[in-house]
Amino acid sequence: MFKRVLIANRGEIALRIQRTCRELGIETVAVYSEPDRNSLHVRNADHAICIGPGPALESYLVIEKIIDAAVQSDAEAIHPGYGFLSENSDFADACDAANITFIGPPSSAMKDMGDKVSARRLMEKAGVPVVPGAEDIKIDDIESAKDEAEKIGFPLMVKASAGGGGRGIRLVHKIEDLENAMRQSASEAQSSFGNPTIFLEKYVSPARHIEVQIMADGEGNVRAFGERECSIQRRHQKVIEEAPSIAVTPEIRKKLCQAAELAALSCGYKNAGTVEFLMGPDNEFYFLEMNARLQVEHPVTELVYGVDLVALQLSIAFGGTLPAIDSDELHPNGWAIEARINGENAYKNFVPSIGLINHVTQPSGPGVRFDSMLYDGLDVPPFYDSMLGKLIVWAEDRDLAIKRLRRALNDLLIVGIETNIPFHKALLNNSDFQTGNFHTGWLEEQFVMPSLEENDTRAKIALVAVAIARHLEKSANSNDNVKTSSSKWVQASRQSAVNISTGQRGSAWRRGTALN
Amino acid sequence: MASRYRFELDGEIYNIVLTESDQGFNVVMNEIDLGTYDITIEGLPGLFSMLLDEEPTKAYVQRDGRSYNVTVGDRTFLIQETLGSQRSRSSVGSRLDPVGIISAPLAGVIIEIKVAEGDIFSEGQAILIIEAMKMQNEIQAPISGKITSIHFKPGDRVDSGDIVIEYDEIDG
Repeated sequence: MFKRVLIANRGEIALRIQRTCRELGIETVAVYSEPDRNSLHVRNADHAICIGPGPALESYLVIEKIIDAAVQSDAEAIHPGYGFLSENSDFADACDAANITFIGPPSSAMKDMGDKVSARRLMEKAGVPVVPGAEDIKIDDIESAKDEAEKIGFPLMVKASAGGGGRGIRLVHKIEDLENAMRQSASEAQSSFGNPTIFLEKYVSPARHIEVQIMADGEGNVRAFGERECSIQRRHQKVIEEAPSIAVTPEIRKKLCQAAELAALSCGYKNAGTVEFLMGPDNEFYFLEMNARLQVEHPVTELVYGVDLVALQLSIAFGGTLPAIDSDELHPNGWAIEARINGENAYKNFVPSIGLINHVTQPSGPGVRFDSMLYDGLDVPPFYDSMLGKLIVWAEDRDLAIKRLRRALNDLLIVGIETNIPFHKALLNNSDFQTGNFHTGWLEEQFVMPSLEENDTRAKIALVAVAIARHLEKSANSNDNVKTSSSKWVQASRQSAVNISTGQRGSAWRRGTALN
Repeated sequence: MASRYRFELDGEIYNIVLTESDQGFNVVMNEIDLGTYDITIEGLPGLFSMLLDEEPTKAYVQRDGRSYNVTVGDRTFLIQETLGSQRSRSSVGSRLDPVGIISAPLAGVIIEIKVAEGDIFSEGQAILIIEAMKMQNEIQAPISGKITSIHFKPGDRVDSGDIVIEYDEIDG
């Protein structure tokens, strides 16, 4: 096995990869931007190398800096995590050139799958169902494009081949709007991705987003670890994920897994990947795209299949082969649900909320896993996305998993910034969610976030606490009259905290540095 | 001996009288006797565990400049101590900026400041843009005024509550 691996990422995923490395006796090298100096992934690594200022374009996205850090620290391999450089084929090539193992697919497979038109062609050839559409359309031949559109039927989507993040996508309801949509999509694709290639695709709606986790060893062995249900999305971002899906029967699962395995084989795939499908109400499913990385939501698969996907990734990257077990023998056990905990205000249209985390109470107990970057005193930097952690639960069935997630959300206390915890609680209480009656548009079209409770009885608790806090501040020097079970050390820190907090804001934690 | 405090929450005034005893704090809120709370705390800012009639509740109390943020479960209340009868004037968001100050309602990086010292602006006018988590947020003027000083420049990082702009109020 590798002796030392560099993890080219931050936040909860860097910590998650470190944990498996440590279990396998692999040393870890962390890279970090300046504002991430005080992050857990830096503190917990065996080696840590600063790669520049906060903006990702000057640190986590600079291929040279990551390669230099790996060379400097004698790392034999790089795990890219998700996001950042994880699906950048130039980065995979740069690793090869530096004789460093890239823990992920070969760059050729990444390129094949990164281009949606070439991915569709590969899938059609391999016999994987794709969404009905047309790839050979051109802006300067509108008449043939219109013919193709009529064959597909309306509404349809104009999409960019190099697309991502919802850019270059247009929904077209009637033929008169087609030309305009094609021009807009192509020009947006040109400016965003430097590639104006577009294609047409039938608009499958309502549909579920169902994805299949695969693992390939590059020796012709591919395993599919069942599906994940990711239909609950806001602004094309998943917010809650489950494994298995309430809509997938063992028969459908078998077909989905076979299609995903064919997809992986068609492009010479190696390592972990996810094949995304759209599934209509008739249970017909279509290939959407393939993600050439470990996904944010991989833990739900780990929990129902009893597998460590990062350990498998490391083993395959080191040249190992997959254990001799047929995908047909893999079955999900129980139910797992993941809630993404984001720093955003659920009551104010989910605007970002970042800053100093004063206090975290982490949930635990049976069936609870909390993969997070949080700790008391963390100053969440403004440069990266708003996900603070993932709360994942496992239980025997879906109803019990929902109850367990509700319990764990109640146990989780994050003080200092607003989070989407109230949203998750409201979602779990929604009857459509409870019965599994949803699709990819459901959250934005049908779900209504309840407004803040008026006459909330918790206000009384807050007022009593604040009055006593104010009183204690005033009598800070004689707090013998407060009963406390705390140790002398805690009492001492409390004494100093009381003194500090009577001054200006900033409290006991100092931004960006450890306590001093 | 009783101590009197006066707080404002969502525009309502609460008069609270605390009386310490061996059992804890007796709390009278707006003339209603709530009972005696047995309190333990872990630091200040910190977590308050309160027992009233054998029923436990908890709250996390922290100071935010002139006010307190008190978190109970998944809800945070912004509570201000008020000394007299005056009420503060509210501006955008939940933060209560006094007249003459525009503070950052959220932490982030200043992308643009749309005014300069000496500029006259009117209520609702866009004053600055703060970016956080790749999203841009426009901060608008709560009332009309004339800029007297600007404490940050584009590219600077601000914390929630930092005073970004000071101004003189202009009528109309």
